[in-house]
Amino acid sequence: MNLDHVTFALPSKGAMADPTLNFLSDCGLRVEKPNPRQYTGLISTIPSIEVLFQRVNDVLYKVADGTAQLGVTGLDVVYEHPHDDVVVVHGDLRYGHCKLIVAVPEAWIDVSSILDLAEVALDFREQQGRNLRVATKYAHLARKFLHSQGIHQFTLVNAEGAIEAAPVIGYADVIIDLMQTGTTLRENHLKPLEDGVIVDSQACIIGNRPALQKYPEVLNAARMLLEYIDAALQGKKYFQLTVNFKGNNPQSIAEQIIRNPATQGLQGPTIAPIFGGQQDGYTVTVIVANRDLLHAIDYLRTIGGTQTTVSPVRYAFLESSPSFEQLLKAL
Amino acid sequence: MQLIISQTKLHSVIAQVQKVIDTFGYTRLETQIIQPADLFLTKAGDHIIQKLFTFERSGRQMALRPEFTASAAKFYAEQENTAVDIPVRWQFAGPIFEDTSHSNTIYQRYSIGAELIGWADLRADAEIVAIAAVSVQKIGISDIYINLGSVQFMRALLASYALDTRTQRFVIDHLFHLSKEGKGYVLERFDRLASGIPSPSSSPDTNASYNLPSLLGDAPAHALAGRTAADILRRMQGKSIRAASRSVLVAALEQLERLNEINASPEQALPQMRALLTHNQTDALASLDSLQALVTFLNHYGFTSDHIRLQPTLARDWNYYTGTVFEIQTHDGILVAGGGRYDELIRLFGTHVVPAVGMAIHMDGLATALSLNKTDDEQKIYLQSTAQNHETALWWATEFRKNGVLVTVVDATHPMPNSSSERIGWLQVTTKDSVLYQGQRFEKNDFDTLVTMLSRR
Repeated sequence: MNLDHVTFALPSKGAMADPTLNFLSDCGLRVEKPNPRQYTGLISTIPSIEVLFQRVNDVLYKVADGTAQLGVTGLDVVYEHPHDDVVVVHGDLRYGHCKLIVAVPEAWIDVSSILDLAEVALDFREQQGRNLRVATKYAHLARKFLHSQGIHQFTLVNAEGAIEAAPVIGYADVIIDLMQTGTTLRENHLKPLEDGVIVDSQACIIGNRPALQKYPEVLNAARMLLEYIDAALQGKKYFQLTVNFKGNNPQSIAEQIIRNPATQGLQGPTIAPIFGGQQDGYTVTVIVANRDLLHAIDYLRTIGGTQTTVSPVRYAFLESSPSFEQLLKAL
Repeated sequence: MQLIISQTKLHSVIAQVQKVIDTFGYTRLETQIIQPADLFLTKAGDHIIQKLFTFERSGRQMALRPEFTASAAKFYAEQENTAVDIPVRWQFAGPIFEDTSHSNTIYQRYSIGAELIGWADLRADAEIVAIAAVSVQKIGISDIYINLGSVQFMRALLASYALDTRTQRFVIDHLFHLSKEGKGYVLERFDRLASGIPSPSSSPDTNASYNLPSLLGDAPAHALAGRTAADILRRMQGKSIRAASRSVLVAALEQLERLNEINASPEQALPQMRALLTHNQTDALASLDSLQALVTFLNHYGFTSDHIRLQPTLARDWNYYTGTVFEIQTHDGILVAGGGRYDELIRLFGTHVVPAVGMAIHMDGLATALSLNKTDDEQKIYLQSTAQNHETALWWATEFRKNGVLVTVVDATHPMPNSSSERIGWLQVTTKDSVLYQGQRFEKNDFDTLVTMLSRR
């Protein structure tokens, strides 16, 4: 049995929509949307994929029921709606960062930890005869977390949008919600609890497990996505340096470059003679980790490097895609 | 308890236990399996709540019942205004549930419970302990230990250190951790709870005073979300007092650790417990007299000291206990029953405090102790049939069943189970005029003899 195409669901609106398109484009997987009014698109790099734009929660539902075989959503969404048929294909795309946190009114100066909150919940029950009211869109994660922390006297208040205002309006005492920078919390006189991080979330790729197991086309589409993404993410960690050296002893240059961990590169330098100059010289190409760049340049100068040019590394393909290897194990 | 258990044996044991409880005058009641989760969340220990089977219906969190006591307490509170004979004696039986999906074990167990509501006297405690112990013995487990503890004793002990009620509760909730992980773990949790207090403007003692408006940054009332400035002040003072009482808590935990080592007969344990108490711990000493009195009542029920062990720090999974707590174990250490006094539970569902004591018998423990999980020794008479003689086989099966013989028809090619068991018999069909039983031919006119023989098995 074959599929005509593999459906890849992407967020259509909200905080993850544009960053997802930018991320894919950076990875060489530019999404083309022939008609802005339609909810479909194409990725010319992988012709078997048809893109379907959905709201970020619906991406999960579509992948869970198999309408889409692959999708991009947030880890918070995946953990809030655990589903046997959903597998995380790549959980570290390094954008869309946010945290699901417990926040209480700033004026609660006696509350800084979850243990404090547990005691306040008891106070509510004993002194006011009611439960602590928690406003959240994340009922499953909130309930699981609060119980795991010994807080049992609470009532979840389901709310959509503007959850931060719930304590001020008066329909909740505390909130459990996503935080990116904390500005919105501060504006609403709320503070996060120091040990109240429930999920440290970011964007992820998910897949429909039965489809990945059953259809080679889906597994292959996942492999191609992961090859590009892994190589692009890996590439972001490095610069490619081209350095000119004077002299006529390439062996000595190579030995000195390899001696320093900052310049030894992925597998050592490539050295080629420079032709047409007034004196003997070699050009060396070496891959250097971002964090070691200035240290590497300083070192290359001390061993005779004259001019250095630096280029970003678009892709760094390893022997195989580590994320794809992990996916195969997870299946 | 195994997922599959012989229903005949299980129900026979349940019936025997229920009859014992009947003889004490307990009315049989049913509670619903599905209940609002709040009922159990209010007073269950963390250990129970982690395993509560919950789900949501119409925005309300529901639970599969993990026990009967909370349901009984709520039912009593609802009847409070109608004429309820005091005290009431109720018994319950049925499946209870826990979510053990993380350990991949069994979700459903069977339990039998009894509740005596409205009698504060130790005679009520003794009756409940005795019912549990007599029931267990009646079904054939005579070699048992009744382990007795007292939450009242623990509370009196902690009150003697002048620890505030929250700290007392904190210690009682952490008794299990104290015995498993030691004093250091409990203190680390305590320190986390006591930390993070802004410094009061005077000394950090019980008279600590705070300039609250400045600390609250002139926050408007709506920014306090359901609390008042006075609530916050009270709690900060409470935290301050608690932080100042750390050294006292350490002393209390050290005394508890020594008490924790006691696990002996009343004759041995009571003097040891008294020796560990100081003269000013008068309430704790008095509650030891209550424990002694309870032991005497149990002696009157026929349970000698050989069967009773005192464990002063015995902690149970439910937080609603206020007085006597007990567990019944076989000599092999299998837990078969437990319970205690819960005088403050009914007030949560009603208007006033009603004394109450209850117990539960764990059928999974009993099943293990009685080896009920083995199903292979059931009496079986197998009648072999082939496609050719099936009509005749059915005719014989019907004749046997009419005469009260339990017959199971099997295919003749199936391998015979271990026929050396005396409880397994084999019939082979020849014609409507004769049948082979264990290889011996019986003619139609020998039918009555054969029926008598099979019925006697």
